[in-house]
Amino acid sequence: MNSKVGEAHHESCYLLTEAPCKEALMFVPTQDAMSWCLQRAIPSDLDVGHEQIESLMTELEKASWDGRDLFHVRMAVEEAVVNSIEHGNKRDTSKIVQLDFRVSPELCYIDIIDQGEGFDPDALRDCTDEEFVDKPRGRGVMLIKELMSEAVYNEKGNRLTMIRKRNDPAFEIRDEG
Amino acid sequence: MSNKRRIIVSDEGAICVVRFVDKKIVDSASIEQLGEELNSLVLVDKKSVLLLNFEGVEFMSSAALNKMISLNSKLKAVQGRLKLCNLRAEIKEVFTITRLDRVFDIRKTEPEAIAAFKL
Repeated sequence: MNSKVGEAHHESCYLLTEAPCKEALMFVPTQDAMSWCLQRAIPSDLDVGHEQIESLMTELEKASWDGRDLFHVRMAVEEAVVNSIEHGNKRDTSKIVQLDFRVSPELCYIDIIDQGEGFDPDALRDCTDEEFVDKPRGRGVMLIKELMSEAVYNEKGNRLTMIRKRNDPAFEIRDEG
Repeated sequence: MSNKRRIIVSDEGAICVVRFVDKKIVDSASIEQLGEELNSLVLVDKKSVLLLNFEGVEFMSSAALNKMISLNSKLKAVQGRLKLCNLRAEIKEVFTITRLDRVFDIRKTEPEAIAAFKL
């Protein structure tokens, strides 16, 4: 069940504790500043992950998000949740992924923690490099960084915190082709 | 032609036009099946000139992108040709960000893409 502000603390919430991300976000919105929050620990199951993403998308639409803003959040959260389940927890169903989604008409906050070994996002190969551009894989993290207003990993690399501002001017200039 | 569940295939002369059944290409089992069906067009059905028409596709993840990349490699191996068309602006932007717009020949409309095959 999706949680409204004030009743957000589900019994399965906050099973995982991880150090916050190494670079602080500009700010972390408090729950009472948001119109919807979901905090949930889910098993490493992509179907369950997609159910939570659909809930997030529904709430963003209710908060009047649309177009590129909505698409960008969907892409980033899709990549992040799939990475946590597939690469982080390696689909081990005994491991959980902890989600914290917060929505307001102006801001979307997403925090995802998995129980994997973590990774160094800065050490990933550059998928736009001529040598790798026509090779599969390696685009998820790049898309997350490119499509969110801010996206930071913790030191271990098993926690991703990101925000997207609605109508963020940083995304206005990109070429539509 | 082998049975397909994730794609709809039609022939425009020598060009094999592929449309997608799913509006949102995210489900991992569907993506795997999509990849197999795209590859089988080349490996089983021996198609070598393919046009992927993205009309109606609202969203696709990078896992789906990987299947397009694999298809492109399969086609290259048989000196085939691949074009994409009708990408909604946000999906086109994903190709641009990842520089895959340099790997794939992306055209606005199906007639434009078909004409480009004949150049």
